[in-house]
Amino acid sequence: MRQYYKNAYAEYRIEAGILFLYYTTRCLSLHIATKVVQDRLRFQIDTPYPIYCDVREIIDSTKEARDYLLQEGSVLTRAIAFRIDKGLTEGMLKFYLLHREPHIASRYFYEKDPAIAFLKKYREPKQ
Amino acid sequence: MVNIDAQAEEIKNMILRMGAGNFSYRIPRTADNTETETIIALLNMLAQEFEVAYNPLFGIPPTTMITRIQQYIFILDRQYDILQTTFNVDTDSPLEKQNFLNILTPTSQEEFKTLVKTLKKKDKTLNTQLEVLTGRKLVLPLNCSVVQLEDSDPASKLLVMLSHIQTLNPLLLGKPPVKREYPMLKLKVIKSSQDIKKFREIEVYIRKHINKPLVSLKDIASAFNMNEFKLKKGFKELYQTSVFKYHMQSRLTHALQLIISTTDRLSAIAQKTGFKNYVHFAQSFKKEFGVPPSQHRKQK
Repeated sequence: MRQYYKNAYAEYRIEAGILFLYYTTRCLSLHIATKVVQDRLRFQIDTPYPIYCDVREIIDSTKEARDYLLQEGSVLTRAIAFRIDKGLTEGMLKFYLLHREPHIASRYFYEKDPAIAFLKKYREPKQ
Repeated sequence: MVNIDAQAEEIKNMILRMGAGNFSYRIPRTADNTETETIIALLNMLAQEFEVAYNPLFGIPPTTMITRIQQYIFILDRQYDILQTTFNVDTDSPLEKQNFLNILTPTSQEEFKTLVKTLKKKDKTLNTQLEVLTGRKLVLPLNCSVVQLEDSDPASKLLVMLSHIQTLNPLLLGKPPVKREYPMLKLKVIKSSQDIKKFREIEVYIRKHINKPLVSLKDIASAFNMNEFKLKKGFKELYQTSVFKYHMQSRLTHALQLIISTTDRLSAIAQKTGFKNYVHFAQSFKKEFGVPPSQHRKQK
């Protein structure tokens, strides 16, 4: 089972039962969002994970990409922790979350450790 | 506190445009992490949302809104100088004899050059989005396609078409709204904002449970503390479709996404979206989308 994968727009890693997704693209279009979700689903091979989603590189996005991610971005996801910086990323993420439905636990964090602590609660319980 | 004055003009222009009901414009973006840049990003995102949702004639039928495809034509020579154009949006000076690249943002200039190179290689026009600089420091995102006139001639000109879809308040065009008799839906069952809130919760519930067939309306109704009649009628009033159909559509849309973005077997996808057998899934899919599920795999 793969622990690491990378494409032109994002890096994926699974560690301690959490999927780490780092966006490396600055502009998020629908085409890019679709590819990121597609590759994530392939990487996860049918298993849901809590997701650490680092969006700090992104400085712009299209409405189509945001609407697509609202619908399909939470497939195979137990919970999402967004990693952001204060300022630009925070502003944009808050706008994005306005439309989000609460059926998957999602929160944003300025630091990595509290994000991981939040996600640990949503890991697959060890059999 | 960061000085907002440097970009105040663009921000004010944007707000004025939006106030007039025109959401086509965008403020050019940079990668600065400043408060001003955040405000600009949020204004652009707000304009994007309004572009699809704005109806200033709320309460009056949407058929009075004008939706049109706005097209601008450019004829360029090989150095990209503008020979002729129909573009008339806010330009500071007449466009003829200016270079086409001068009205594009730097990123768009590169994209346009790439587009023309592809045109030479493949002889086909591709669509791409370009950002055009208008007066008052705002940009207008437009779809672009390019044709080469007179193929064989090395001095042949380029025909560039820039377009976008505009939904406009007809008052902006100076036309009075057309009064039409339009049957307005009277809400009979839904009586309060509490009701609407409850139906929204029901809609979320339905979309959460797309991996199996829906439980009976009676059970849903009692789970949300209303009677079955109100559930049926109210849902239909608000969402224009029955509970069952909405559930089915959500399942099929999700199945479509899985077909496009995963390599799961179609039979597995049918199961995941709550269909007991593949035949039923394929029939419902074809009814909804017009093609069988396997078609989307073939198209890949």
